[in-house]
Amino acid sequence: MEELKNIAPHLSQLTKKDAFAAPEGYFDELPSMIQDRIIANSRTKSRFLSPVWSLGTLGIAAVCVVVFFIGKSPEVNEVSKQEVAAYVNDNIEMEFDETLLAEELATSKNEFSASEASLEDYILNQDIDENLLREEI
Amino acid sequence: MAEYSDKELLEMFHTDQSSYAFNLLVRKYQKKIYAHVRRIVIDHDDANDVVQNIFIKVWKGLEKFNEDSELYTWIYRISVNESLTFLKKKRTKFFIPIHNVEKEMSDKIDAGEHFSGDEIEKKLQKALLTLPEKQRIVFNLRYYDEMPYEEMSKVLGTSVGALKASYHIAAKKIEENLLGR
Repeated sequence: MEELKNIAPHLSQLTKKDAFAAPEGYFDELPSMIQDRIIANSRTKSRFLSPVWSLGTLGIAAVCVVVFFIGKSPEVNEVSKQEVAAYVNDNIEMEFDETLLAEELATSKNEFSASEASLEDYILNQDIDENLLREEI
Repeated sequence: MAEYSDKELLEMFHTDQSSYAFNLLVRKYQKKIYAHVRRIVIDHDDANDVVQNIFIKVWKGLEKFNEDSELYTWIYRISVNESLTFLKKKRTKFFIPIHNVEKEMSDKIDAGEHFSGDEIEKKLQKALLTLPEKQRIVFNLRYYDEMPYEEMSKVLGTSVGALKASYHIAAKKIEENLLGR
């Protein structure tokens, strides 16, 4: 307080008191609250170190590794669009009966409706050669 | 309950009575540490969280505690670090600019929950909130805890000269704030 007298005379005259009060009984409970948290922490720690958890983690890791390699190896599943188009051209296209297909479409319960504008948008988005289209029409 | 010296508590901790010794240590320091933390974080619930974290750190570190330094100084050092970390987290967690955290703490002083001080004490605490964090801690350690500068130097890792200067500046600012200048 002596050193304050010169620097801050008003402050040095104030009665010093601890205004921050803890709720009643807080300091009786605090040691056991801390002990409980320490016990809870050590339980969590020991649970993660237990053989069951270690084996479980190891198992999950093994499954992840297997799934990763299985997912990567069969590259045959990856077929490009061009390859699909070529396959359809070579094998399927000729097998379609166009008349049958037209009849099927006409009697289909799935009604198809589209406005002229949306059809126009669709055609424009398909990158179709306009001259070829005019010739066809 | 008889109060053991730090040396006795440490000896007891290193025997098979570690839990009992720790319990005694908590009982010995809890009020001082709570008061110190509460003055920094203001809110009781926040102070409760920080105090518990401090003693958990003490428990974890006690096994490797270097007895060359004083237990009391070491616990205070952990308290300062934990309190500052708490405030830092509070700021980054909610993306709150500095003045808002201080405003929030100032509002809590006004609300008066678990606060037994009169209007002058409220004014003093609110004036303290205008100080930079570390200056506030220096002021609290010197003014409330009456800690010698040499010990403060060990707690804060700052030279005695710098601490004296910091306390001097803080006290001046508080004085001016209290006088409404």
